[in-house]
Amino acid sequence: MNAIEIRNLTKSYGDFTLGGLSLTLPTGCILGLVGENGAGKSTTIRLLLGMTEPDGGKAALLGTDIAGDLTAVKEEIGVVMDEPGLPHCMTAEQVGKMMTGIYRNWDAAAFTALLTRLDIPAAKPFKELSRGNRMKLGIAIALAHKPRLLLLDEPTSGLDPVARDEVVRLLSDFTRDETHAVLISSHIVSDLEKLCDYIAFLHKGQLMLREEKDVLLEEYGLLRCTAATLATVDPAAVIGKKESPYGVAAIVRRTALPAGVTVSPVTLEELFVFMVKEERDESAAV
Amino acid sequence: MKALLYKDWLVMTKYARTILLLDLVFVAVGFFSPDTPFFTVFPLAMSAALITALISYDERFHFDRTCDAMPVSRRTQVSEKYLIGLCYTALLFVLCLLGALRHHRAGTPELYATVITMLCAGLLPMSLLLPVIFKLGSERGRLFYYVFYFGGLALAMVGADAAAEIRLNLGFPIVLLAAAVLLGIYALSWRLAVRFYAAREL
Repeated sequence: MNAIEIRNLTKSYGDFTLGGLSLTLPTGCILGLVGENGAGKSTTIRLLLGMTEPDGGKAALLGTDIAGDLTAVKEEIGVVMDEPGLPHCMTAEQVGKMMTGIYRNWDAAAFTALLTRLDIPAAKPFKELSRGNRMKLGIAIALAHKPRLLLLDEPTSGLDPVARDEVVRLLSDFTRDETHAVLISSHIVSDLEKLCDYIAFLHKGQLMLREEKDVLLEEYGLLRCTAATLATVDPAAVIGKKESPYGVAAIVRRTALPAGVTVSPVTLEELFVFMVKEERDESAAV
Repeated sequence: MKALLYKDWLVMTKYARTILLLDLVFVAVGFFSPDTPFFTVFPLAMSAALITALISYDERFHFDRTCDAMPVSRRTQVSEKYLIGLCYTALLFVLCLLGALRHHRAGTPELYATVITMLCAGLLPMSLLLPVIFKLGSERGRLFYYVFYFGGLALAMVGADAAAEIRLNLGFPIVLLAAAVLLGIYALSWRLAVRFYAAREL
């Protein structure tokens, strides 16, 4: 079963268009949505949650069409928005008390354990928490009602490396259960590289690719060479390139390389940056 | 619903203390001062200010989006604010009625006129204002706030003066009828607000 199914979802706001987005997230998997600011990551999550109406297309969360009433299915979804929104006067303890009246499956003991594990002060008002602690509180809320699906919008932004590592471990634990799934958006690609099974690149509202992370990392390599060497490679195999006075760096398909030309492993961040840069260069050329 | 009421109770006692305090002061002044309709009516008109403040805080803290991501329907989110508005108006109505009873004998047309004015001042501004706020948000609805709030209050006062001027022979059935009509308008306003908020993009 797919936790998320998106078919040709579109949404326009003035000069921004999320165009014909199609994605699936199988249960038991983590899908990372990568994109620069304004690429459409938050819009996608808001569309999925019914906060805004799509102009076209369809989507389903845990089998429930987003065009219908999502109240029941939201019992099984944990959400962290890019800006954790809670009344500034409330403490984590009071938030926990409030949540017992919102989620049928709210586990107060699990929430307290998460506060301790993530080192979140329970008695401090929200307004006195650092941005990192606010995000961690959002993550604790998202996990404490035993959801099957997590929708996380930039959950690691504002966290220090230790806290980010802790969050990454929490999410890894969460997906050990094969009925669970996570959609996580971020522009901190290194976090997604540690976590995700699938990666989707969004750029200016368009889906550039969606692939298994391991396939991407196996399929592409980073070639550092001279312009003359690069000219021997099939142009269709070059995903993106950067030229400098010292030579050329290019992301290429390993299978299309001529004999004798070797590449080094590529990171997701390099792959994304090169692809976006190539697209920009092509747009500028047109 | 209970969870949202608990949250709004905390927000009210922390951020809306000025409104609550002002209401108490006006109720006290209305109780002890010589008869002036203003002090028995104004506290009730503050119900609209309280609910607008609560909606405004939700938006400022981005709690409207957080709430929408949870299993809480838009209908429940709107209904909770209308319920607080109704309860707060009922509480103020009882307090202001005690003040009015010091100045008018029970069962007199003057008391009935005051009661109708109080009901109008409590329910009309909220009924007119809340659908606009739920449609446009508290920031964009601010202009309407002043128009409906002071407009509703002025209408209630003018109506009270006119009733006294023409010595309208008001009886208890008229008061009941007025209360029923005003509650009907409040219910219509709630339905409209639910529809508006369901269609709003967050």
